[in-house]
Amino acid sequence: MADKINFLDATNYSDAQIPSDLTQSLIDLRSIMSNSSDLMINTVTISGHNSAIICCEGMVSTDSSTELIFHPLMNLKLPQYSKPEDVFEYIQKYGILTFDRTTIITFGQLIRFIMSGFVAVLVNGASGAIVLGVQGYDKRGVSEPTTEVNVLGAQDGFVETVRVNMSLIRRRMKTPLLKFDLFQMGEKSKTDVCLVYMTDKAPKKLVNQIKNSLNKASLEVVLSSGYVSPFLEGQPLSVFSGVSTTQRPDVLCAKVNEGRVALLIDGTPFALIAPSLFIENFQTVDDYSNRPFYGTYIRWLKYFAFILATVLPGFYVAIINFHPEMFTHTLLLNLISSKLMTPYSLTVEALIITILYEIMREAGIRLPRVVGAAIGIVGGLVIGEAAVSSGLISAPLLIVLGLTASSSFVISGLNQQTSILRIVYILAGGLSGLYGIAIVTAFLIFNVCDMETFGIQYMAPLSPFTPKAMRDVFVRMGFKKLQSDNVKVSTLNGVTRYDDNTQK
Amino acid sequence: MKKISYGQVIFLLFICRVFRTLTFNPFRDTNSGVLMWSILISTVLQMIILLPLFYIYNKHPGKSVDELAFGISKPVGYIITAVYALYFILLAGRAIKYFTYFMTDMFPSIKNYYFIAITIVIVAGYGAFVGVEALGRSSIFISFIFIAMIIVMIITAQGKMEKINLDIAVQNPADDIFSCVLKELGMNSELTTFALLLPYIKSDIKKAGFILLGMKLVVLEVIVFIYTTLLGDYIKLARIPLFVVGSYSKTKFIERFDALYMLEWTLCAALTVGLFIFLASKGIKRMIVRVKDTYIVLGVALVCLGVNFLLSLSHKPFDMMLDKWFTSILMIVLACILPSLILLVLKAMKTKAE
Repeated sequence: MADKINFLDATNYSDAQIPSDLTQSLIDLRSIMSNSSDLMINTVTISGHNSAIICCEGMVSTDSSTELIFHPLMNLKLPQYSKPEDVFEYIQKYGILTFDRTTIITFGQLIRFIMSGFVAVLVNGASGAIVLGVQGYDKRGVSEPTTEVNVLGAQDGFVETVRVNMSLIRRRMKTPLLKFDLFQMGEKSKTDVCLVYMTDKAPKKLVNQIKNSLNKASLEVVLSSGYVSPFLEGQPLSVFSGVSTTQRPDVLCAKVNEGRVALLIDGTPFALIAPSLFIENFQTVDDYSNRPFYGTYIRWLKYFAFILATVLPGFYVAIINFHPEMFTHTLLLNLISSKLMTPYSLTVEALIITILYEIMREAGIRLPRVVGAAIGIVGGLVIGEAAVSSGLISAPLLIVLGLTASSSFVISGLNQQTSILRIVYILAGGLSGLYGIAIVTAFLIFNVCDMETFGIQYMAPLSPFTPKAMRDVFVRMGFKKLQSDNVKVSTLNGVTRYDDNTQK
Repeated sequence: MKKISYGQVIFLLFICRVFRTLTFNPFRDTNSGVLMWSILISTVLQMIILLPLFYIYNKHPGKSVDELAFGISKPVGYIITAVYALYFILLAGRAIKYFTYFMTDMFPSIKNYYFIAITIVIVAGYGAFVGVEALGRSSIFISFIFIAMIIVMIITAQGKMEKINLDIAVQNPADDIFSCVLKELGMNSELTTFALLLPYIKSDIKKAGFILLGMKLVVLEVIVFIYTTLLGDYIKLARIPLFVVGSYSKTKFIERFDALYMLEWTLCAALTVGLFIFLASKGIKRMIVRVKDTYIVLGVALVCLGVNFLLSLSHKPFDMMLDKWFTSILMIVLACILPSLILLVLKAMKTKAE
C-alpha cells in the first residue's frame, strides 16, 4: 500500500514527525521553509551513513561548528555493521563537546532549534534529529543601560539575548531559590521568554496567575515588552501601569527578592516586573548607595518634581485666569504686564508651548545622533529666544515650562503619564481654574486607588497602609534597618489574596 | 466581594462628616460654648445609636441591614432597600446642593451653578463606579490633605487666637442645648452608611465606630475652638466659619489661600457624593438584578442631579431637609431604630420557628 503523502508546509508542520528517510526529511524541511535562502543543508557521510547537517545562515559560529561538530563527525569511524542509531548514540554520549544537545522528533522542534542558532544532525535510517547548541549570531555586548542612568550603581544593563540576561541575574543571585522558567510566546515568532522569581518569596498564586495570563495571550509575534505588558496589566483604562520595566539586572534582583515576578523577553533589553507599585517610580539605585539623609532628601525632591511636572503649568494658568488674588501685588503686576504683551490667551499659549516642547523632546529621541546637537540649538533659539522676543509667548510661561521639563526628567519612568496629565491639567485649569484642577485630581485619585495588579493594590503601601514599608517611602532608612525585615509583596497590608504559600 | 479595612471606613466617614461642616453651618444663631457641648453630647448618643449595627455585624456577618430585611419577607426587604436607596439619593442631592451653593457664593468667577453640579456628579459617579475599595483608599489621601489644610490654616492665619474671643462667643444668645444636640445629630447622617457598608468592612467594626466618633469629636471641637478664638463675634455673620478662617491665611508669597482650600472642599464633595451614589446603587441593584451595575450607577447619578435641581427650584423642600427634627429623626430611625426592629422581628420569627 502506497504511503499517504502528507504535504507539509508552514501551517501544518508543528507536530509532524521527522521521518527516518533522509531524502523525505529534507524535502519536507525545504517545503516548510519555502526554500528560504538562509536554510543551509549540508549532506555528508558519517561513518558510512548518509546524513545531513542543517543550520540557519548567520546563526551559528563557524569556528565552533567546525571544531565541535564537523571535525569529530567527519573523522568518526564506527564498526562496519553499525546502525544509524549508533551515530546518534555517539553524538549524545561521546565526542561532541557541546553543553546544549537534545534529541528531537518533530519538525516543530527542528525549526525552532535551528532558528535559535542550533545545528541539527539527521541520519538516514534514524527518525528524529539531534540538535547541538553552537550559537554564533551577532549580539550586542553588555553595556551601560540607556535609561535608568545612575552614578553609584552597576553600569551593566540587559541586552537583547535572553540567555545573556539570565546569566547577568544569576551572577548576582547565587542561590538555588532563584528560578528561571523558560518558555515560548508568539505563534510565529516563538520568542523565548523567561519568568524569573524567588521560590521562597514569590507567592505561588501570583506566579500561577502570571503564567495563566501569559498562556492566554494569543500573539502572532512578540518583538518587545510592550506586546506582553497589556496581558499582565489587566486594567486598560488606568492612567498608570501596574507593570514596570527595567534595563538593570540589579534592580530586577532587588524586586525579585521582594517577591515580585520578572519576565525576560528575547529580543528586547527591557525586562517586565509585576506587580509594580506607584511609589517605586520614585526609587532608584542611587538612593540606596547614598547616605540615608541624602537618600531621603532626593526622595522628597522626586515627589515634588512629580507634582511640578504634572500640575505646575495647569496651576499657573488657573491662578492667573481665575485666582489672581493669590499672588502678591508685585508679582501680579509683573505677570500681568507679561501677559498683556502676548496675543493669545494664557491657556492657548500654555498648550502651544507644551506641544512644542513635546515635539522637541520626541525629535530629540528619534533623530540621528550626528544631528543631535541641532535640536538643542533649534529648541533654544526657536522657543527660548525667538518666541519670547517676538511676543508670541510670555517669559514667565517659559520659566514655568523650563521647570516642568526639568522636573519631568527627574522621574523619567512616569514620562508618559506626566505628558498627558500636563495637557489635561492645562485644559482643566484654563476652563475653570483650581476647581477644574480639583476635579481632574479627584478623577486621578479614584483611578489610581482602583488599580490592582494580580491582587496587589497599586497605591500600597500608602493605601492600604503598611507602617513597616514607610521606612522606604517617607524616608530612606539605612540598610541595617531595611534589610532586617524586608517588606515582601505578600505582606503589604490589605493583601489577602495571597496566603504566604510560597513555592516551598 | 471587595472589602475595606476599618481604617478606610474611619477616614471615609470622617470626610463625609467633615464635608457638612465645610459647606454648611446651621449654628449661626447659637454660641460656640453650646455648640462644643452639643458636639460632645451628640457623640455619646451616636455611640448608642451604632450599637444595633455592631450587633448585626457580629451576629449576621456579611449582611447589610436591607439584606437582613429580606429574611423577614421579600416585600419587606424591597421596601427597606428602597427606603435606604431613596435616603442616600436624597443625601447625595443635598450634598451636591450644599457644594454648589458654596462654590457659587465663594467663587462666582468659576462658571455657573449647573456646570459645578454636573461636573461634581460626573466625578462622584466615577467614584461610585470604581467601587468602595477605591473610595476607601482615596479617603486616606483626602483626609491627610484635610489635616494638612487645617495645619496650614493655623500656621498662616493672620489673626491671633484670643481667649477673649472665646469668652465673647460663649456669651452670645443661643438655642437651648437640646435643639443644638438635635441639629448636631442631624449633621451626622454618615452613620446611616454603616447600615449598608457592613458587608464591605473587613474586620473590627467596633474599633472603626469608636475611633471614628473619637476622631470626629476631637477634630470638630478643635475646628470650633479655632474659628471661635480667631473670629470671635464675627462667626455670627459668617456663612461657613472655617472657610472664613481660611480666607485670613496669608504668607509673603501667597496673598490668599482660599482658592487652594477649595481644592480640598472639592475632593471632599466628590468622595461624599460618590459614597452616597455607590450605596444607593447597591440598594437599587438588589431590586433590579438584571441591569448592569454601570447603568445603575449612571441612573442614580442622574437622579441625584435631578434631586439637586429640584431642591434649587424651591426653598421649601430644602428648608425642610435642614430642619433639625427631620434630619436627626431620620438619621436615628435609619441608623438605629429600623435595624433594631429588623433584628427583633427576625429573633421573634426564629423563636416561633423553634
